[in-house]
Amino acid sequence: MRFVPSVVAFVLVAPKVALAQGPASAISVRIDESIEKAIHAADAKPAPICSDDEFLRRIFLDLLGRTPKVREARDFLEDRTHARRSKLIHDLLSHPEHYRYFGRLWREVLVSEPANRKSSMAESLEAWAREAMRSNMAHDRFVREILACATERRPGADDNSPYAFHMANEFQPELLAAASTRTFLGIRLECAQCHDHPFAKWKQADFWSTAAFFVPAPKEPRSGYAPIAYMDGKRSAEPRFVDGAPLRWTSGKSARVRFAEWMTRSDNRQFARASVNRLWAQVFGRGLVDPIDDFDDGNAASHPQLLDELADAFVKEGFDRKLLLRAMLNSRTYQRSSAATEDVPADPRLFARMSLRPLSAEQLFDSFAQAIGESDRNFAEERARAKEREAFLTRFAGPDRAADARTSVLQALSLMNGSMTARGVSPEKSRMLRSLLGAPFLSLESKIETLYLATLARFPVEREMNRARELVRMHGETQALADLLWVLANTAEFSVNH
Amino acid sequence: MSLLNVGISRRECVRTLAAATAGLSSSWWAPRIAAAGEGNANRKRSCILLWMAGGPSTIDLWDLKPGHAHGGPFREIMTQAPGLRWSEHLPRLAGLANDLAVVRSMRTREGDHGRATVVLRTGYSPQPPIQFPLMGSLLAKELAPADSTHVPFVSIGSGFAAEEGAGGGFLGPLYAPLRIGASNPYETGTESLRVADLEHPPGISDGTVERRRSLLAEMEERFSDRVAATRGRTPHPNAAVVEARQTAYERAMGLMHSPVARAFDLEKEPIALRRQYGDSAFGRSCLLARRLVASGVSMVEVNLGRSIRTPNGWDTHQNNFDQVRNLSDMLDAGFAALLTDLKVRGMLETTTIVWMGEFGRTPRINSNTGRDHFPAAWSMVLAGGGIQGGQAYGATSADGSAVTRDPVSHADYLATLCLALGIDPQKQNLSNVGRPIRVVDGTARPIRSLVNA
Repeated sequence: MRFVPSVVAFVLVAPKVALAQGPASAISVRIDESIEKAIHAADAKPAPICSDDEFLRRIFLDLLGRTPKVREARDFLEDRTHARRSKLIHDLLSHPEHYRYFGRLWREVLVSEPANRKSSMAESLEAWAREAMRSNMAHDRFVREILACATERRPGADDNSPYAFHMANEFQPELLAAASTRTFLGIRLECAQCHDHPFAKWKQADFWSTAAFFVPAPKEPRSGYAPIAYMDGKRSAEPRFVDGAPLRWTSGKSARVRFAEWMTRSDNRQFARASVNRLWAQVFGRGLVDPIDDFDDGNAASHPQLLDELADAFVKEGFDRKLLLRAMLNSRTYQRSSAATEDVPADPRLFARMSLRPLSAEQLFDSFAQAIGESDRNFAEERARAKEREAFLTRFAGPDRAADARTSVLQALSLMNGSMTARGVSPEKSRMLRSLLGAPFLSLESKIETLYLATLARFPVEREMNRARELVRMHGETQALADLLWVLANTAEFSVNH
Repeated sequence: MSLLNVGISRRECVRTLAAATAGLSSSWWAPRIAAAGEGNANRKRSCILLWMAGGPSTIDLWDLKPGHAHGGPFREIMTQAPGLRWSEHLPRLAGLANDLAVVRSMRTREGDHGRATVVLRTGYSPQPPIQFPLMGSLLAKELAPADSTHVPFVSIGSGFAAEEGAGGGFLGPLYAPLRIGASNPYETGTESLRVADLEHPPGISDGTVERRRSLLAEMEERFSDRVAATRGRTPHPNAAVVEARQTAYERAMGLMHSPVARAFDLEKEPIALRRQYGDSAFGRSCLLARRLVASGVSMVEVNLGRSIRTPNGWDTHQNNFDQVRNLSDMLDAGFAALLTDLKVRGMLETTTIVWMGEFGRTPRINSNTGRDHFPAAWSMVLAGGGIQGGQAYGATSADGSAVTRDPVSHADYLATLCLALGIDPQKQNLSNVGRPIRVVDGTARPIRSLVNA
């Protein structure tokens, strides 16, 4: 059964969804069929396809980590071609800021400890990941390079390397084993570190025989892999794969390299599943298995068949991350509205409606800078901004899932009263306001429109325009536009990806 | 559930249900509440949790094994309470032992920082998709007025283990902790314990602020109606995202004008008193906790974990004794000053203090003179309001490896804490999966001999 969205509002200029060609297109179709089948089975309807402005803001935040600039927003919103959405997806997927943003996201995933996150080695890892994104390095190779990275000595200043992943885990076999299986296989093996876990299937021996892969190779050549001692030396474990297969010795390859090869093998379905699921969660706000690092019999996938199909397709397409991403973004499922409508089910596991996601600290800072006209700065200003950015992230970029921090009282105070806001809405200091107030050829309406586009990436509705005009009449243009910018930047609509 | 129909928000719903289920509490509880209420019906209670992130070596603090190979180098000293002895490195607390009850028979199951922290701090093992709130949020809800201008729960300092997203959970953002000084565990001084941006920037008039706020309220309506309308059905999680943000804004605006805002100014305290609390982030946090409770905050968490001077926190796999000694000095000063200060102000009777971490440490000393994770037998401490001090409850074997008398689970201790605070541990809250969940797991057996409420 195929769902036909009610497109009354889009009859003339309806964007075509899923226009991508080739394998990506086939995957988009499978995603929509599978998701819509489950929604209909629940006797419900999916949300309608979102409007262009909703799509525009969402795709910029998801791919570039910031809201669109006024110029970018106008260009897209005035585009009337059918293929405008897939064209924008295509353009943003090869935008330099996209590589930069995704590089930073990998840095957060691979070096999660705040103390390590700021080190020069983390910078090096980010640069390495950014290049991997730029060259669209196959995901299996990406993970292999992380795991098998040479750790005998620190990489040089110009040498980009994922070394920081090992450093963040203190080069300790047990920490590396836990982080690798959690990040790349979606399995929380570390629960079994101290004892056989009562609920999960992993045993203490499984944990330690995985950790054994990360024991540094001895200096002299030998004919076997070193075991690891645990429980205060009372027990020891040889490297053995989680699926039970033992490791046979091969000359010239460390156990860690063998582990990297095993993990990323194309017949290791858990690797493909976990990889696909991570990408899915990034795009849709929650995983098909959620949380994404808790694949467990007790935590089933919402769409197990779809997850397997996506995993198979990912393997078949050579772990092409960009292709899979393009398929997801071109699906109807990604392009559904986040608005509440009749008959749309409440269960987020059905993906019938786009989920609202509070902006990350990074998205918020960069979007805010963009909104107050500070995104294109010269080199000297760039340094000052980097410092301000770092301070903001230190305060609000909590650990992985500390969504609290993103919606916290402290963040609200900062957005209302902080120095960046004060500067950004000051008629004397704000670049955005100065550019508007000093422009003799701009009508009041287009000034108001500009503030809406800069913050919310949409045009004001008629009522909003009237209200803004009224403000100007009452308080004068300068004061009214400053108030308006403050208000727009403090709305939930601004600080949420919807 | 019919209660969920007709467009009421989740928050209202939780409140309504809480009111509805208040009458359902088990009968053993009812008379006790009534009795406790008779004496001082208006007595407002607070709770301070001193959280020892990383798993404190309680065998070197509260339950020493002198003479045994597992004992280590620390000596025992006598305390104010006859027969109660503990570490020589907690001398000031020893002088206040009559206010402290040591539970020496904690027996839990999790030995992983993350999982143990979740279990100890929420009172439940994770059962996705249920979003269990922090115990602090549950207690704050019972202790604080349901009013968004009020700050019910403040958490000071960074924890060791990831919080796993735990916060207000299914109670919603109204009871999520206001986190202070949590972003950078390496900061020192009183500055990091301040709340930034509590005042309008200079040059902005009250009139401007007022105008902007009312315009904001107007603007918010459109968006929240668009995404959060939930007529006739269970709310989609999207509604909760908008609600969380709006609550944060209400809170932030409330806090700007609240007496709590002034509590963060530690410089207001006499230098002599600040010295008593000790020159450590923990000491300053304890002082802030006292000021917050005095200004009406019901629930305060203070973390003693990793910092510049304590790089491993309580996670002492290597060189256990030097590190525990260093931590003991900070702990002794801060905790003892807090007790004394509360007592002098007449606030100790209404303030219950909990000291604990996520587990204890192995009695056997490892080859790096360290101790590893050990949930099977460890100690925690209850003090102050509603607690019968001057005693040790339960016991461990001579080598410290097993509980030999009166084992206590995490749920048992939480139920006991509820008793001391005058809260019904069997009370139910509506969870995010639509199922009512008790404040404390139904299997809990509160320890009555620890409570004098």
